Amino acid sequence: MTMFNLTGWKDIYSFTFIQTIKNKSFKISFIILCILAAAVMPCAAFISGNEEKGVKDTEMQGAAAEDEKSITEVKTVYVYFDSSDKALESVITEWENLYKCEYLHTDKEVLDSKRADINTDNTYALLSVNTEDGLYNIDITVGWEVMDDMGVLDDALESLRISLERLQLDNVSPGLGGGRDVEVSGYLGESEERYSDNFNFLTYMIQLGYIMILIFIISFSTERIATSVVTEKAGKMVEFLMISVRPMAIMVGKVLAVISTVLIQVMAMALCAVISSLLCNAFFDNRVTDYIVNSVENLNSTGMSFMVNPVSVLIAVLFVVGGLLFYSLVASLAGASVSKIEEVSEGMVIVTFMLMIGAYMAIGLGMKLVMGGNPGGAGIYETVTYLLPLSSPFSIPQNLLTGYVGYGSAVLSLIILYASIAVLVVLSSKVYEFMLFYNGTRLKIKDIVTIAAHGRMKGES
Amino acid sequence: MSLTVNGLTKKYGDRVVVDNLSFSMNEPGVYALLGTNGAGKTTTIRMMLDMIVKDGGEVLWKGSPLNPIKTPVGYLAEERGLYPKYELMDQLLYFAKLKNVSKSDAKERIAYWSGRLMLDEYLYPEKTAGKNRRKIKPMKADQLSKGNQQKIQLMSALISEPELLIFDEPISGLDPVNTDLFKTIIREERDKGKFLIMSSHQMSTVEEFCEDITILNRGKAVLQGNLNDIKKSYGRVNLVVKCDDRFDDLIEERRLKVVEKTPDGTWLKVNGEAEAKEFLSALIGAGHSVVRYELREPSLHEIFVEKVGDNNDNV
Repeated sequence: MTMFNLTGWKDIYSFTFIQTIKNKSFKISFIILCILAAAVMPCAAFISGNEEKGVKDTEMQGAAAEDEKSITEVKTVYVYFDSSDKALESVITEWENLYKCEYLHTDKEVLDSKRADINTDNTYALLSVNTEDGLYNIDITVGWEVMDDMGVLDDALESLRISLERLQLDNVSPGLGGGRDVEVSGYLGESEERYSDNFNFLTYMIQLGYIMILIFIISFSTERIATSVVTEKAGKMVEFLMISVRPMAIMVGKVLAVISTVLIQVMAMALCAVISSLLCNAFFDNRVTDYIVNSVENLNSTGMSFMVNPVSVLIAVLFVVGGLLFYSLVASLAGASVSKIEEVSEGMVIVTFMLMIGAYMAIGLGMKLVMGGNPGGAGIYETVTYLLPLSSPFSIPQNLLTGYVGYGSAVLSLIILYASIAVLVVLSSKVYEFMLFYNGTRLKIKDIVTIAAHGRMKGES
Repeated sequence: MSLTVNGLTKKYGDRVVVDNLSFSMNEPGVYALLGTNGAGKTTTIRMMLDMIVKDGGEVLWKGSPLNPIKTPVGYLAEERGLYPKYELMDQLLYFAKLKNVSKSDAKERIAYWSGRLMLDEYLYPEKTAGKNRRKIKPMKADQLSKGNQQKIQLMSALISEPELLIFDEPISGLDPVNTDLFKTIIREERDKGKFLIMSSHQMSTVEEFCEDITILNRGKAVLQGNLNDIKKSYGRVNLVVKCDDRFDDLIEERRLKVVEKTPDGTWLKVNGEAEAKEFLSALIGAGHSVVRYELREPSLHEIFVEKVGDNNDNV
């Protein structure tokens, strides 16, 4: 028997693909998920709109009790700057393109006075740059009633932070030695903290978003593959199929078909979300959409050293595909290990367990990053997370594209991932045929290993 | 020789499921694999079709190892399987495609077999829908009775027009009308020059069209050969007699073994034709009016029970 004979996999693929698409449950879930994806933006806009309105209402009521002040825009920015660093000064002067700037130089008394009066005069903002022990502390203070203008201030501050970081990274400024932190903080109104260094947080959000999407894709695929395998096994169709195609061809065709349908589902959801977002942007003045669009536009200039090129994108895609294949193969074995459709969830426990381990390891790495760790470091945790096939699809792609993982580590991890897939394929070829004809209680991992080693279960040999 | 099974062996641990089984089919016809439940029939068929790994032996088709992927084989599995929620036509076209049958040929053959097997109302519901054509949806497998699902499976086996057919319990669970339909199709396929191997528990069916048989007991072939030759070797030992009046006294006098008493007559076991003729003379001599006298070879059922009955109860 030629176990690796893949003749007929395309027929299995096309049939499984078409039947999955035609399936009523797929159609229903497809529509529901697309609706949900499309609803995210309007809902977010609605919620943010209401919250903003609520805040404004409260503020307006409070302000009206004291004084009937109108919401005004910042006309002037008073700059307090206690550094003699020319490069830093040139960055600060960039603000002159945004606002009318008046320099307080190092007059702290004027600064304190302006800060005290800011809630009675909301036509100005304060920008103070303090240097102490090599740490730059940049504060921006605005009055309560300039909420409407915060988006512009936000952008201005972000631009400032990026410029400062670039200075530090490139070592342009002789006064800013390498390794010194740049801390950016801001205050809203009466010293309420408004800004913090969101550099790591943004990275973490990217990591988390990617991990969540991949978990969704893999969970969807594995569940469908396992169900499909058990259905075919329990319904005895597999015996008829096996006179025309080998088990490996059945497995390959099925896995690829299910992955294709899931990818179509995900792409449709993404498309719905984008269209909905654009429509929201076009018809509503909502901050959520603006924020997302601006974030995407600004990603390249946030100081994150992106490494987006054809090679890195290809490697990232290979990781995603590899991760899908890895977990799908495990799912097909898990499906074959049970005999009844009611036992699918029992068989899927191992897949869910592996998926959670892999995903949580990558999330843990992201948390380490947000807490100031070095994602490109060579610690044991980082190394294991990057190299383990369970977690590498979750941890490598986004870190590769954001420049935290080098090609060497990525390629090594990719080799390990695909070697694991090859091992799984060999293991599957040995046990899949046996498992397809097996009827009884769920096969455990040790049973599968015994079958792989001896061609039959313990007690039978 | 066209089909040769040589020394086929399958073991599960210490248990030998199929033990050095050999048989061959030199000419087209129907070969029967008989045996009790668990005798190894299905395992033999699965090994022949390369579905499970053999522990020994080979299967040759026209002198070369049988490869079902390259050689079209029509297979009707013991446990029927159709995708319950998929449309019937889609499934048939899929099975045909797996057997490298073009879509146009497949459609033509499906139409033919649909008519033969009286499945038009399920495969072409729009034809029988009349004015309500718009409301008709393609039928799915779970909307069919078990017997009709079995017919769809038979279509799948025949759709590639294979030269070699392997049917595992083809008529089990069918009503009499469909049993006759299946038998007719099996005869037709045999007459077309096909090689057909079938396993069955229904001995009368096997007797109807099987020339050669193998009886398996616990994985071993306990009886093999041409069915007529096997029967002849047992001789004519079954005597059926029916008279207008009772003749029990003559049976007791000659110490004949009564197998069964039915309204059709009394079934007796005799030692040969001479004893049977002598008993007939005695009946006539005693003035009995004989309305039925039939001397027969043992049935396949009797031979089967004799060969495997001692060790198995569940035939």
